[in-house]
Amino acid sequence: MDFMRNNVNFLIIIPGQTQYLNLIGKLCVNIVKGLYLEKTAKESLTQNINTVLTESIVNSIKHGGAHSLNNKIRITIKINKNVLTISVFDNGQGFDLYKIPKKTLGSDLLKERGRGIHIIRTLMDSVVYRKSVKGNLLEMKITII
Amino acid sequence: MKLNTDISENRALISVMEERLDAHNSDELKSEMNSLFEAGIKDIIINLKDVRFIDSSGLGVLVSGYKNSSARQGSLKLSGLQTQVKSMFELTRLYRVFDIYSTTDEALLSY
Repeated sequence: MDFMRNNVNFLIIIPGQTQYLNLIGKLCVNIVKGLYLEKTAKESLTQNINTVLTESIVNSIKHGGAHSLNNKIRITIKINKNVLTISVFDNGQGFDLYKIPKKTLGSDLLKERGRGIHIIRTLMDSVVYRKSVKGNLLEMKITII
Repeated sequence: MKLNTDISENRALISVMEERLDAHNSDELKSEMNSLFEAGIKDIIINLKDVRFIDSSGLGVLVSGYKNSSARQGSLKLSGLQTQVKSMFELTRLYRVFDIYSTTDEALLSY
């Protein structure tokens, strides 16, 4: 991978509604398309970014109180050297990520909810949640090989 | 959400004609399955041939359908999973729960 050529810095702001997930998915495809990566690495990265962004946006909408047109979700996607950082910020009520048990995916196969954050934790190298008076920030990092 | 439902021999085949099965549209699939269960249909095949992306909400709706059909001594089978969708079933270990077939014809022949 040509690290120096893969310098990405995107800021996306969307209303807190699920109808924008499709648009975010298309953006992911286009962002990764422009990177200097092998075809299989591109396919895998597209799928991973699409998944973690979808899960974290839905989390903001459902649990962060961002479910209205007035509440905006601010997303940044950055690649610096070989580290991809995705940040999702909302100004809703928030939830405490650290109260969610670190279960292994598949430990409760027949549950209908609660997979999202475990999927994010599995796909990314690090997941950090910060809550402030302004809102909630979920920051996820992965090293691109 | 574009769904196509064929009912034959008291079994249903629901084709999801969307590229994404996610938090935005998956409740519509759940409603369709619930209507079929209420109408007395216990065996459902979900054709995911057109679906290129599934999230945890989409997976949750399929699990809900699986539990509903099992509670009625029926079955929920899946067919036509694309690579990206298959990888989510592997990541979440849900391939252990569902009967997954390459094509709807294979799923239909399994009864």
